Amino acid sequence: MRAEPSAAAICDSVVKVYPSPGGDVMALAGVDVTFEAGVVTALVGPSGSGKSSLLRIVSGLDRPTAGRVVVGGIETSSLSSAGLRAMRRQSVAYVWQRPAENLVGHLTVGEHLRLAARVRRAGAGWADRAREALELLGLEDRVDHRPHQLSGGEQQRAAFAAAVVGDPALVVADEPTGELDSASAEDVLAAVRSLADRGTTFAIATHDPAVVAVAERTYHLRHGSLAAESTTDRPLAVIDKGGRIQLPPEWRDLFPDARAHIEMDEDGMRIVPP
Amino acid sequence: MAHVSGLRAAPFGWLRRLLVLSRYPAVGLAVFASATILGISAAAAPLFESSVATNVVQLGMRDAGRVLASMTTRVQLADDVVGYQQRTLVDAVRAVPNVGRVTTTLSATGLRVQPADGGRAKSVQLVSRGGFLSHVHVLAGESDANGVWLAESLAGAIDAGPGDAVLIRAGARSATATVAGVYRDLFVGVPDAFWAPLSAKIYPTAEGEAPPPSPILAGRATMLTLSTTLELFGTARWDVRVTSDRSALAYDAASHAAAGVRRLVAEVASPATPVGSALQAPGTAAPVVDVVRDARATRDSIAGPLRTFSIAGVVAALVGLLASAVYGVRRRRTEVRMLDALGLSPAALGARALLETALPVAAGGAVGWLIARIGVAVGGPTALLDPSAVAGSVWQAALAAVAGIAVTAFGTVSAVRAETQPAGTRFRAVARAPWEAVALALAAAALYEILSRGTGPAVSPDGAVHIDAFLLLFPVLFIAGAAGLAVRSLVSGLRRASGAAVRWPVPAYLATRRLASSPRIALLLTTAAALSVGILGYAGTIGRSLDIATNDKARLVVGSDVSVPAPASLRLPPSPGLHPTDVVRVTASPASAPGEITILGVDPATFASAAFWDPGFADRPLGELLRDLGRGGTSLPALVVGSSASVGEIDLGGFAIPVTPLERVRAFPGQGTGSTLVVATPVLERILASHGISLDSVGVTFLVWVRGPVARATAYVEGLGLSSSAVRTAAAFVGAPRFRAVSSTFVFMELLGVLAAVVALLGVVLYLQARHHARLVSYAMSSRMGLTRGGHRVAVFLEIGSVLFASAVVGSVLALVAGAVLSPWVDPFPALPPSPAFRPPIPLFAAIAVAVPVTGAVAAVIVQRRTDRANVAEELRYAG
Repeated sequence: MRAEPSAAAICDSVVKVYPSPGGDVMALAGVDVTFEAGVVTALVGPSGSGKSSLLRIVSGLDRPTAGRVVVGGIETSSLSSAGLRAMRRQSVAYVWQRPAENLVGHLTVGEHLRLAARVRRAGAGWADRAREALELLGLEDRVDHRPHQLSGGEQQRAAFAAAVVGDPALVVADEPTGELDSASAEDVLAAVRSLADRGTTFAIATHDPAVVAVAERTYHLRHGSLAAESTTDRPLAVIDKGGRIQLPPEWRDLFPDARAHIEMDEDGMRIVPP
Repeated sequence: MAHVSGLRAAPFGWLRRLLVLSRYPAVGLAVFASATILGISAAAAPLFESSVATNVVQLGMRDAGRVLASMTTRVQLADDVVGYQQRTLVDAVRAVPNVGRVTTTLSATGLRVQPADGGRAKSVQLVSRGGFLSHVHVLAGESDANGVWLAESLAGAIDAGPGDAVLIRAGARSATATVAGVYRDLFVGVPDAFWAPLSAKIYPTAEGEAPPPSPILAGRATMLTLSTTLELFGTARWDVRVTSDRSALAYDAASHAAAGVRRLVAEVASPATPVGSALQAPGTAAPVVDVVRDARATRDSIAGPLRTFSIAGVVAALVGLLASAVYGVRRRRTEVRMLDALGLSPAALGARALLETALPVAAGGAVGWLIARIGVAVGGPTALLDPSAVAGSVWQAALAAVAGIAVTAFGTVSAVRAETQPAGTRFRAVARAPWEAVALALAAAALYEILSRGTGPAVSPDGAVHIDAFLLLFPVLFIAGAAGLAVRSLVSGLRRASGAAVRWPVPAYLATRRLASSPRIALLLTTAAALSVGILGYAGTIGRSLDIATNDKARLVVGSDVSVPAPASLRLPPSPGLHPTDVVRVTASPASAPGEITILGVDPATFASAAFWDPGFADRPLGELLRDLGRGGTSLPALVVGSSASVGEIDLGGFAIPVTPLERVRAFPGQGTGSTLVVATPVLERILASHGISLDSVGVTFLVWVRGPVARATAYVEGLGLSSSAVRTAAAFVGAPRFRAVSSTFVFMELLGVLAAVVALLGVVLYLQARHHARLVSYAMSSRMGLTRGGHRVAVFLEIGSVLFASAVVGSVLALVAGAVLSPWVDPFPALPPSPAFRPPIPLFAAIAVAVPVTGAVAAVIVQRRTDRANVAEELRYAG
């Protein structure tokens, strides 16, 4: 694990195993990731790679089978259920993929924000901050509207507005643009960017390249392991604690025998087929 | 800044929270319906018990002439003596609750009356009873005239009328009185309850006895003037009547009155008290005490079964609330998941649910109480209920509602836990669990108890009949378990059918697919409807079997529909629709054995058509037996009833009469199973005549039996000049509290069956509501492919109709099976034949058969209208 003093959340060797009638399924096989404060971090990878499992663990909705998770400075791995709930109240907000799943049909946008403020025991100035967020997200005219009166993009932006009430350490979003058209998705990502610029930390699982483009850091998951990490500068391969490096899928075809010859020289390391 | 108000707490936000379930009508309706059942189940039992007990009090007090207690003393009939006693007694009865007027009756016997100018003298009694003129049928004379009132028969016998003077003699003394008027004899016509306490002065006290002397009625002043002149000793009787307030006949009020009467009787019996000293150890009677005891026994006898049902209903309703809570969480899982992600605990979510469900549960409980209150008032034996029972039912409904709210909160918390846990598949596992096996195992245990222990109605020492709870538990468990299994197999068949439905007509295809797409709801709905039909059918089957058996037993005891003693053998004129016969009864001594045996003489020509007969009483038809009875010579042919030993000779009127036993029969009309020799009256008369004696001379009792409608039969015997007050009817026998306790239990069960049917209909509404969205979408899609409105209506009819049809068939079959198994066991008097036979209530099942398509058709029309009005685009958008 890299030491990150400004990290909003850290996952250290996180393992998640789901029991199933057909045998245990390993969803995460020792993942190390850091979500830096004020940064948009994207998690990408094929379906079943462990993105959603990682998000559920980091948001305190689930526990890791092994490993350590720190959110907002709180070590969550050993927390009781009540402790996890308290952590969720104080430090994490969660935005689901389907817009309709993020909002309650009988509450207005304003009531969603007030509900979040009450649950998170947001301070006296929460309303001003919420109004700012609503303006930032272009929802200032939709405060008294119920979900069915909003478009899908507006619903998702309203969900983000409610998520940032009380300034949680981390906002987790699971494919937030997955069910939106491109124009609505752009609106939502602009909103995410604006909120991040205001200091909100985002962890977003996605298949959407537009989301990756917005993110400052992207983690690539494959088969429950961290395959690669890329920043705005350049892509990085990840070396796990066993010293293993995952090759990008397109390079694996270069090694049909699944064997490689590693050569070290002064400039670095070369991996070639035998 | 704009729209600041949207972030502030809305005024009356708590009210919106209370009404939030109105936004989820299916959930709200499920909670409300379950709470309504809860309220009904909790409140109905105490109300029904009160209704039954009060009805017994009402009938008992009516028979007793509304008299709480009576004091009778021998006294010199002088104004000062009687006045003192009356004042003292009136002072004492003030302490009795619900007491009304005290009616004084003065009477003297051993008198004779004749016209003042001479003529034939007749035995009479002199009677004064306060307010008597309002309770006699005046034939002649003015009500304000002074003097004495003669009965019509007496006036005719001594040839006296209004204004005539009559001479009343008591031993050597005599007094002259003016006839004020003439009234119809009291034993003619329908008896007036006013005279009920004096029945001994009006009617013969036993069969075959001569009627008492005709009463001369007089006002108190006239009576005392005559008695002073005649120096009469007589009887002073005080009837303490219940107040005219209708509520005084409620069970509680009558119980308080009975307690007061007991104290009064003790006070009267004590010479140390003023009233005891004044009345000097009078005879006392306390009808209200007996009536209240009967009422309590009846109430206690039905309390067990009623409470069993009540508890079963409460448990079912609580399960319903639990299911509603789980359904509510499922329906609102977005909200639950969101709040869980926000960090709200299941307990906090449960508290929210508590707040949200409190109003519908409370409203449902209140409506349930109201339905129970109105239902018992309309369907119970009487609408008059004890205030304490009403208050108790309110408390029980309130407590049940509190329990309901708690169960709802528990269900919500559990469902939230299951919903928010990744591995939350436990509820689905529970839903799939074969609960029917448990119900059937318990049903088998109950049946084993019934068959092995001989469980049946037990008669307690107080005479009340108790229904064993197993007789009620078995059918409910059996029908529930078997219906669940049957419906489960139907649903699995439905899944297979949905595959083949592609080749069916479009409406049938749509209906099959819709049912197959929500098998759990279809399973639940069909099972609930089958259970309601089953309970209704079982209660109806047992109730009908019981009614017929009880009526048969009653007619066996009475002999026919109506029986009345007659002074002599009468000519019985024919009357359309009525079948009369005359019967004689006499006690004789067997010549060869000690003791006595009853001889029942019947008329072979008319007996078969008039008497009740069950083929199980004898091995041969009644006609053959009667024919053989009429073939007597010097020996008397007889049927031997019961366990009496064969009698070769009887001693009758001092003559030994040989008897030829023809056949032993198990029971005989009018005698039940008691030891009896049944003979032909003409043969008996002939044999007696050969010894030079007649029937009259051996002390026979003459009876007239009439088969036919009771009212007409009673009018018929009145037309013969016989007293209707002495009429015994099978209907009155059946109405006795000990019989009513049994029948009331099954009436209550039928009411519960109706309630269950209402719940099943509510289930249909819930089902329609729950499937509304899916139906709308499917209709939108199908109509684009050419489905007509009529076709869709038929599809809905098939969908609902098939569920109800399956329920009706399964429920009816199971009810008939349970009824056939248990009919013989529900016998209030097992010792008295005939045993109850399996009698399915055809009209009830016909009504169910009609209700099924009608309900399906109405539902189809309503659904089609609703679908036509709905905005499909808006529905789809709202659902996301």
